[in-house]
Amino acid sequence: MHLMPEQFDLKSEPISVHGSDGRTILSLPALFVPQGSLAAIKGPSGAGKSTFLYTLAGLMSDVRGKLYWGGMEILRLSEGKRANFRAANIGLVFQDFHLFEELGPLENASVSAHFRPAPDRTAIRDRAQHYLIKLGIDPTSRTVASFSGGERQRVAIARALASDAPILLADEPTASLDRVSANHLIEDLVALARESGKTFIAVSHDQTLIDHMDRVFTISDGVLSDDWSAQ
Amino acid sequence: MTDLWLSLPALVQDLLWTILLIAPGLLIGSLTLRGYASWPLAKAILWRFRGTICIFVLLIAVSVGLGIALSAQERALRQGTAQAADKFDLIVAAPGSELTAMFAAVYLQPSDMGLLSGQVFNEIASHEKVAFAAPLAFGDSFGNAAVVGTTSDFVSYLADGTIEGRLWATSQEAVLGALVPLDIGDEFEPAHGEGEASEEDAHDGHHITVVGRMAPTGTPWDRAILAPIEAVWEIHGLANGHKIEAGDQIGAPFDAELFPGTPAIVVHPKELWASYALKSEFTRDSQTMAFFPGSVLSNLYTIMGDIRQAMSFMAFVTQMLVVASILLGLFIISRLFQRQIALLRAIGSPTRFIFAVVWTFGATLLLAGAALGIGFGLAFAALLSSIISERTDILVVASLGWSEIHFVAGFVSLALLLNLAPAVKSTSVSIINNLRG
Repeated sequence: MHLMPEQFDLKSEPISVHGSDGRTILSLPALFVPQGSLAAIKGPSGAGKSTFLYTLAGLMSDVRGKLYWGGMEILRLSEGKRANFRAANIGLVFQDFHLFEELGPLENASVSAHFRPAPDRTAIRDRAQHYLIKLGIDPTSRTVASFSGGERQRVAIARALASDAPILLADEPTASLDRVSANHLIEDLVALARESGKTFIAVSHDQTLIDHMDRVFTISDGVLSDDWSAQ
Repeated sequence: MTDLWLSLPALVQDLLWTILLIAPGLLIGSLTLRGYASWPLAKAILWRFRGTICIFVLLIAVSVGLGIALSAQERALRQGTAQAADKFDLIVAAPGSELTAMFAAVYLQPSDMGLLSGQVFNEIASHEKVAFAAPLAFGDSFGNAAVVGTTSDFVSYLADGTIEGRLWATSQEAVLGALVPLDIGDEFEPAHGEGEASEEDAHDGHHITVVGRMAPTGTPWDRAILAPIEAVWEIHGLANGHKIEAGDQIGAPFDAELFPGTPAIVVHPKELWASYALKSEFTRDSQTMAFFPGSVLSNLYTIMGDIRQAMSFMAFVTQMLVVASILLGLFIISRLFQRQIALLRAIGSPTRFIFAVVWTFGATLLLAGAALGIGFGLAFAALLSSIISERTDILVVASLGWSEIHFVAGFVSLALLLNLAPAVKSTSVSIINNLRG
């Protein structure tokens, strides 16, 4: 299922996302985001930014339209195949971190190793350790229970990076960081994405992060109100 | 196939049964966990909810423990009562209830019984197939110890010849059971009757000196004082079974005319096979009743067995209710960690891995509860045994047997199977709702 990075252009036909009551909560026109792009999604709270991001990850259940990552139309995949696709190709950072409080930073960052084939596990752990150190987290800490919001955020980012996925989707990755830490993280993430050719799409209110992006989508009231591109 | 099974040694049969019972659980576990490392995440979740988890584990442990205790205790009671009756090959008594006569003769729980005459006793004692016959006379006591009149042959036989001190030589001497709180050389005056109704002063002036102590037998006889039957007759003002010309003779033969009567006679045959002939010979309408305590116990065990089956069924139903409660609890607890499950699914975990984590979580509770339950069961059984031993003086020692191992294996297997339900349920959590929760 692991596709080559150069195949990971994002292409979609018009998409609508519906809530459990059938109401349309997000409506998007056809989009094209080339592999290796850095894009921000911004907009007021409740506008549908996170829904947009989760839709790109194949996490929303009632989505109508077509959405391709490379040649893969992910909305047509079964739940299990979508999970496989995410495991191999998408690194996700959530706004609320979603860490296992009782595990240490290294176990959290390498959590996907538990369900990946045995040969991949060591590589995932090694990468998790590498990114934790790079992000200033001591991998040997016993648990993350006493970690600050900023430390948790960095563990969550290391977890997303540890799978070495060609696509990185992040929901407010700098929200819990102080300005100095946020700036460092932005520089690291942007550099990493550019060096490795990853597609990096982040929901953010952080203007510093937005300023680094090639493309900015603005969402208002569930529709794409602006699509800015640096080129 | 049946022949092959029956030809196997009991140990092999028990082992195979255990494997057969536990196999479904192991199979489910190996299929569920194959290829995944679910334990670290299950452990993290267990630790997170450790308070609630402890209560669940204790509930399972108590449930399993009660089942084990019931089974082990019932077996120990059977073994203890059977062992206590070992020395009583054949008992002859006046016609009536075999159970009453057995409780009186073997377990020293006397009640009103008819008396056998000296003629009957002599006929039995002099029978060519009888090694010895001993009369038993109950009804007196000292403190909590029953004073039983009998012959020295019976004392030697009961103690397997292991007596500290010596056997009695006169009708003013006695031998103690191992647990009687008197010492060799002490003197005592028996009271008439037993328990609270005993008359302390009824036999004033009749001093009996302790000259020996039997080795422990693990039976109610350990708390009895054994005295020559002549002493019991004499302190009641009766003839002592011997003519004056016999002088200080103690024990058989007795003069039938001067034999005041005995409620029971213990018969030890020369050969085991002779017991059946003797039983038949001394079972006479309106005169004597002969029975094997082992047979009476066997009948009693049959009744107890029915009760045991009913209790076992009740215990099983109770355990299944507990398992159902545990499963309900697992459903509820699994809702507490839906966010973690949603996270795992979001980052691409296969459904089977989620299933494995939740199943491991539940299986850990069940296995820990079952293991702790074995300890609880043995502790409950030991407590019950000590209470029963204290109250009956029958040595009851409960231990873990194959029945209990089979019970635990079956329980674990079934519980692991049922544990699939919350695991299946957990795979259908809403990812988005829980990530945003």
